[in-house]
Amino acid sequence: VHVVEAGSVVATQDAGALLHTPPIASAVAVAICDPDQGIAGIAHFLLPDAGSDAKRRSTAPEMFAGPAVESLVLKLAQLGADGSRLRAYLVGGGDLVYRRHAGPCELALGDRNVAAARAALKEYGIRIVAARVGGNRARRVAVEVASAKVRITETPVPRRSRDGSS
Amino acid sequence: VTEAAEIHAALEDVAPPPESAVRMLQLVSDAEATADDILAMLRDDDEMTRSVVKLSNSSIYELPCEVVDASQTVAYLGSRTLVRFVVALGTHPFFARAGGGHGGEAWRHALACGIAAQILSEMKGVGDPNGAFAAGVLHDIGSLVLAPFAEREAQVLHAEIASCRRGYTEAEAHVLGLDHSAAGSKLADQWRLPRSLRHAIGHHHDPEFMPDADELTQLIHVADALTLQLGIGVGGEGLSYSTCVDAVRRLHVSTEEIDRARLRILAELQRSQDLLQLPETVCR
Repeated sequence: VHVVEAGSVVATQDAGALLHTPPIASAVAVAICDPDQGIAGIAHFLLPDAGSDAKRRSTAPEMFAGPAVESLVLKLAQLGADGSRLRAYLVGGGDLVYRRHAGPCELALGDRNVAAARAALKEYGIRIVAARVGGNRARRVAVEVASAKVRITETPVPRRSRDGSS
Repeated sequence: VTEAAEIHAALEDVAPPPESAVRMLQLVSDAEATADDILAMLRDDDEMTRSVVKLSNSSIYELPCEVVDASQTVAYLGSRTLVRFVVALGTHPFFARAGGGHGGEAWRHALACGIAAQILSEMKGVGDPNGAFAAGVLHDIGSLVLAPFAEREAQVLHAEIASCRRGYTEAEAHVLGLDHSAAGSKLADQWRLPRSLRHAIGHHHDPEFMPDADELTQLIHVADALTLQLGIGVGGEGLSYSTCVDAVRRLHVSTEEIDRARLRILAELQRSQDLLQLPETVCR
């Protein structure tokens, strides 16, 4: 079992491995699988970009959407994944409700992260097969590497899914 | 006996913290207090001093020599670190008594919020960083007492928020008869905590209702929001809280500054977890 914390990227072809994240609020996890090869990984990043701070980008690149997705794609390729078969799952990007405002609040993060994740995946032409993002939910994602089965749980539990699975 | 009456009885039954812990919280919440004042207080508290010295000698700090008294903690690690030590050591027993997974994750959320508040206070020159840390650590003390009642009513509470009819604090007030801010405020009154702390605890979800735009309460409101966005202390209620944008704007903080603060919060929390040997993630 590998816990993929914020700011880290894990990829594996260990058939017995289970990758999962801790609760994700406004951060985003991108899970990518190559089901045919039994290879999968998760990039769990905190911020859309490093802004103007080059030092931050170099010291903790996997905290940011672009470098985190790039790192995951590279690790999957090194394990032998077929780029044309990759399937991505997008999870997280929730946020608080902002009261008494018009336009984005300086604090808002979830939507920025989701947009950055989509842009990064588009860069590599990777298809998003499922996205559980936004709203005021926290989520976890778990990937069974052997079966490429992806399980996403949400809190509060949506009414349509009483057992929390999706 | 109604549930609200049970909760009030439970709040009254909570053992007060030791007198020394309350004195320490009063001192660190006083913006005029100096490191010497805190060191003078520590001279009367051998157990706390021993713990401070032990933490100071942690390999995390890689100090060139052994720390033998708390004044050396200030000399080598700074007075802000000393305050973090004494607040964490003085308040942790209350969180530990709450027990179980909730106690662990609640403590992690408390510590992260304290760190966030201290960072924002330093970054924007708002309020006193030491008082901000103490208020951040204590802001959710009411949740610890409400936890067993909220667990009992979890299905109803979660149905309320899942239907988007209410945020979590409104759901608490509706279902339990009071929310965790009100519960915390009652505890803070019982314990005779300083006024600034009582206000921050009692109004950290509705700072706009504080007269005179209370700076510390606004700071804790924003620090709490940042901590939740990081997924720290997020439980079954998810992110069902609302943020007052006016409180964010009054800090005059840019998106880039907030992003920088987010990275610092995570890094400093990790360091504090290593130091205090907290579990990294407590699954609930």
